[in-house]
Amino acid sequence: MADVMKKQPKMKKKEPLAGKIIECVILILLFALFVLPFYYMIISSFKSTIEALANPPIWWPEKFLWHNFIDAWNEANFPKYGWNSIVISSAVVVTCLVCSVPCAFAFGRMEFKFKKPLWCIILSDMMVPVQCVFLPIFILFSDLGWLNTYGSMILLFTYSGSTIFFIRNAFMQVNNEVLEAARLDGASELTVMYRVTFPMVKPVVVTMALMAFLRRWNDYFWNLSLTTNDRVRTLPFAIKILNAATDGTLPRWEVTMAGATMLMAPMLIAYIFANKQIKNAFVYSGIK
Amino acid sequence: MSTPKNTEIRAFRKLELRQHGTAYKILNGALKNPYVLIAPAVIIALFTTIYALGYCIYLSFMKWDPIFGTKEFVGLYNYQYIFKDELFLTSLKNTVVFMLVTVFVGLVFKVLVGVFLNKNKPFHNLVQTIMFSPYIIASVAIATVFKYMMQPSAGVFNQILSALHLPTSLWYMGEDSALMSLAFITIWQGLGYGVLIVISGLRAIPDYVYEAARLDKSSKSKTFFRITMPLLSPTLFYLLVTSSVGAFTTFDIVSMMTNGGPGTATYMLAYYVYMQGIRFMHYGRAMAASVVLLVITSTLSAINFVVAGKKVHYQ
Repeated sequence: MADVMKKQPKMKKKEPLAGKIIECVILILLFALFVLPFYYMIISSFKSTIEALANPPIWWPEKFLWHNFIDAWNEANFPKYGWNSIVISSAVVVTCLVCSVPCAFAFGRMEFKFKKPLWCIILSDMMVPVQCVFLPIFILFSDLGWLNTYGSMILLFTYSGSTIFFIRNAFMQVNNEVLEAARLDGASELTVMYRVTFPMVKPVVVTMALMAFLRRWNDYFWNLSLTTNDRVRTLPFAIKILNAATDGTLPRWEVTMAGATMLMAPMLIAYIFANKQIKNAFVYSGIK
Repeated sequence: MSTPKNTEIRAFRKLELRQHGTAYKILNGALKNPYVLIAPAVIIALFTTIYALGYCIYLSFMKWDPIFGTKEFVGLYNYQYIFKDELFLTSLKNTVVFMLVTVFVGLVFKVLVGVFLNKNKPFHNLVQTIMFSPYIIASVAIATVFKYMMQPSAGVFNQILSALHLPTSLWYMGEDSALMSLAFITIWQGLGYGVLIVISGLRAIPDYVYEAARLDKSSKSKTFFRITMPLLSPTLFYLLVTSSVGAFTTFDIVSMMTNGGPGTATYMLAYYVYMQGIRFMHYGRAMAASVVLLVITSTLSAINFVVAGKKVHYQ
């Protein structure tokens, strides 16, 4: 064993120069492959119309035109969609947690009749693609007069089988003895839940809140299929509008790119500051 | 600070209980009743999945004209119709080709890049972090950016290709290249997530396994194929199934970039269901097609469940 440990640094030193150069080249290529689209998007949103259509494409505009952002803002009704995005996504985080955490608690820590079939109902949405249910939901909501309401858009994202599944797993890992100790000390169920159990599952819950927000913020399909007017549409639809304009007589790529930049900006900024937490969140939901 | 005695804590809890009113007692009682706790989620699930799925299957046997409001039972007619429909068969074929390309080519790259980046060096980590970012961004925005960059005449992609003296392509505007362009974007967007999962799978393999392999003088490639790959297989399988289900339900980038075109080169199942249902109002046909989609995706999920149950240890 000790022999192996001694050999290890020597082996590292022996790594040939050619191998290192190849490694560097691959790294730079990968870096470029993932940075260039973002760079080009941001740079293009400052171009003039002529520059945006230039052949060959331009990588650095002569003058930085900020008014593209204002144009995108006005043309695609950004204030309305942006407001909707913020309101609905934040509301979804709250309702999703209020709906999921108690449910996950019951399935993770309690015994009751019909637990198995009820659990199957909870997990059902993981098996059913949205393409199967969007029309029935559309018909149901239009019969109820719920189309184009904030409530309906929030309700759809309130329940998510995978969210409940992951929080339940976290609850199941909570040590029973700790809870018993708290109960022996005379703590009520509510106190036990909020003072003892909840802090233990908090990381998972935060993760799931983040995922709920992302799911709603990035959603496009429900935006398209469950709304008939602008009242509750969110930001991805603004990009659709800008994009559709480019199919017509006046292609304005620079404005579209400005819109795309504005849609991505909150997520990218959040990701720059919290990339460790966000990545961990996805690892958790993928592996467990 | 001295720790409070048990009796003190008990007295404090009792005091705390008394201070709260009736609302507290009701809440406390409700918390002991599991049916109250699960009610909201179960009710929404019943309506948005169970009822909706039932209605979906029911609609697939009906001929419903929403404009005139006529509804009649037509049995398997819708299924017969879609399986004779050229467009449906094309979109089924496109979806399968798209799935095979994105899943398998994607998986190879995820493993290669994952193994390559698993070194915990600053620049490696930076690349990995940047690589993941597309995954949390709306695919709508990504599709738009690529639509701009993949233009045949004034696009960046062709500029780079011709600068390297490589043949240029029509990308999403060419009949032959459109589907592969969409596959490229899908792989690009999902690569970072796959790499992240592969790396966390690699880190979960204990060091002593490699130590033993080194003591046995196992070669690098042998260690990779005999030790790393088998131990990584549950992770890879998870990626395989989730990405194939994702590929079957691809909608956003089709709707943003090509609208199924040019011709029918990128018409896919999810898009077919949407067009039949919302645009052409053929509810029955749309739902019949979606049932086909359901059969495919749930078969994949069921395989995942059976295999994962054997190999992965869920807690």
